[in-house]
Amino acid sequence: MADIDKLVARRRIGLMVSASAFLIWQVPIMDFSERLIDEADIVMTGVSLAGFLVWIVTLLLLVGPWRPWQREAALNDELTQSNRKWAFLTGYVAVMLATAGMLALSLYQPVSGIEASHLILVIGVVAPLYCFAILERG
Amino acid sequence: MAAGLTQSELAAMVGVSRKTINTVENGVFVPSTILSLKLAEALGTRVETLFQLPEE
Repeated sequence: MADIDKLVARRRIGLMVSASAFLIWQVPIMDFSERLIDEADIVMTGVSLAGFLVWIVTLLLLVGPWRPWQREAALNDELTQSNRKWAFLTGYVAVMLATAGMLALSLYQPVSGIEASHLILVIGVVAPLYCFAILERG
Repeated sequence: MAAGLTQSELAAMVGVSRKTINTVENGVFVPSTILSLKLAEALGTRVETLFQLPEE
């Protein structure tokens, strides 16, 4: 496998790990999760904290000045740019669907603004990351 | 590949990833004019030889 292919694969895995860690961090601290689990559940708190730490590390690796793909034009070529546009478009659609879903849900049961915005934020972060990683598969 | 190059070699010559060459070759991704010209130059041919309009 060429060096560029290795870097593409490494970036794709980094994005998947980052999105998963963000989910692991955020889902346990959402309002609906806290209603389901005991707030003082040390295991869930630990899992959430671990997710946060992994997310921070992967984020720094992906966006820091040491990232190798910043210097490699081939890692930001036309196909990558096209995939990135599709990923953002997918994120936009996912956010719109989540918003519509929360709006529909609010017709049947009360939904707090924090709860709705938290869910939409998480979907808005995670959907483009997963989409881009899937599109970048070798 | 017709010119005796691997996808990786051609990718390195025009400054894109191997996957980009693969998707162009399979007709999944339509390259820009600039990349088309680079590909034609690297393969020693003309753009019209590499790409044709789909027959209706």
